[in-house]
Amino acid sequence: MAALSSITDAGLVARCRSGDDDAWEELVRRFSRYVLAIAQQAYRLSPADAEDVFQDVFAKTYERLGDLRSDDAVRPWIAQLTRRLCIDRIRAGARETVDPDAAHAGVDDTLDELDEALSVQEALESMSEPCRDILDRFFRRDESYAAIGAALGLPSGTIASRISRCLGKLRDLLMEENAPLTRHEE
Amino acid sequence: MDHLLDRVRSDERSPAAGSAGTATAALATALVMKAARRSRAVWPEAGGAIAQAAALETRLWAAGDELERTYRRAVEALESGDQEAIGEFVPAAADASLELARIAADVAELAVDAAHHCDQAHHADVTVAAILATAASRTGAQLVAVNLLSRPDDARSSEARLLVERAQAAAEMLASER
Repeated sequence: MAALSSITDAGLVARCRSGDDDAWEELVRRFSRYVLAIAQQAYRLSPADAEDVFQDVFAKTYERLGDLRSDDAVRPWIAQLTRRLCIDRIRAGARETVDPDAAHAGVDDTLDELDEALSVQEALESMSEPCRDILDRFFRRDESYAAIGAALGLPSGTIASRISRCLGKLRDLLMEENAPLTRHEE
Repeated sequence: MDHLLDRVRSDERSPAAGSAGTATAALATALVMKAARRSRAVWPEAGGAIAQAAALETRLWAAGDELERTYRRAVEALESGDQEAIGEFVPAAADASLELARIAADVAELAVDAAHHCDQAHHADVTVAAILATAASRTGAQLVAVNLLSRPDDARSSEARLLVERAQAAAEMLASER
């Protein structure tokens, strides 16, 4: 059986529906940062309110997963649920005083950015370990070619080429996004 | 560029050498990007080089800001004779200078990768990118040496020299190819 972290969103939803507790844990893990990012970055909720929304989102996901029409659409479904609960919280006054209309400003752009970031993260997770590692070292940890070469036992002069090749693979994965999602092993 | 030149030629203490080195390396990244952008037809991974050049440029400007900030603090500390501040800010200026040397050496290596894959009509552009990056790396190494005058055996000095050698080797290799 495939590791839960490597199965598609649709596969994960199917296992959640069948009552697999581990699948539920994985679903929460997979979307927790996304939900919190929508609440805090798009709607500017306080950490406490964002945490309340987080709890509501996954409680309602648990109750209503059967309503989901397409298992592939779990991410936009969770996004929509999160948006609605954020707006409810703002309207209720909650612990944070925010104008609901003002709160909408820039929300769509932020959500687009979050979706893109999540897509990149998912594509990265589906890549081979060497590619994921080298991209992480260069783009996230800001390591130099020499440092990457020393860490991976590779000549420094080959690192730029390797990064470009891995970025090409990442681009290909992202272009496949509309096709049925399958986790790739290179 | 005009804004930077105005500020560098002003009678203010900074920006100065660090920013000049940063801008030189940033020009090198721009040349690599141009060569890659104009080579997409012959270089399927040109986008990867563009992304790396963009990332290096972002790091360069951050390093340049840090270099100028630490330089100002180090000079103030030296002028005031505050030994505690000297101990804090002069080594910090050396660290920031070393970062410039590191990033510039990477730009030179990226230029080599670009030269070997891009449309050869742009070989001269990326060769000059490597030459500019070498100058920037040497700038960083020089500022490391200045900030570590009292510690000639400091590991940062030797790392800076190696970085300059790497960049220099890249530039000379590309220059010898045409």
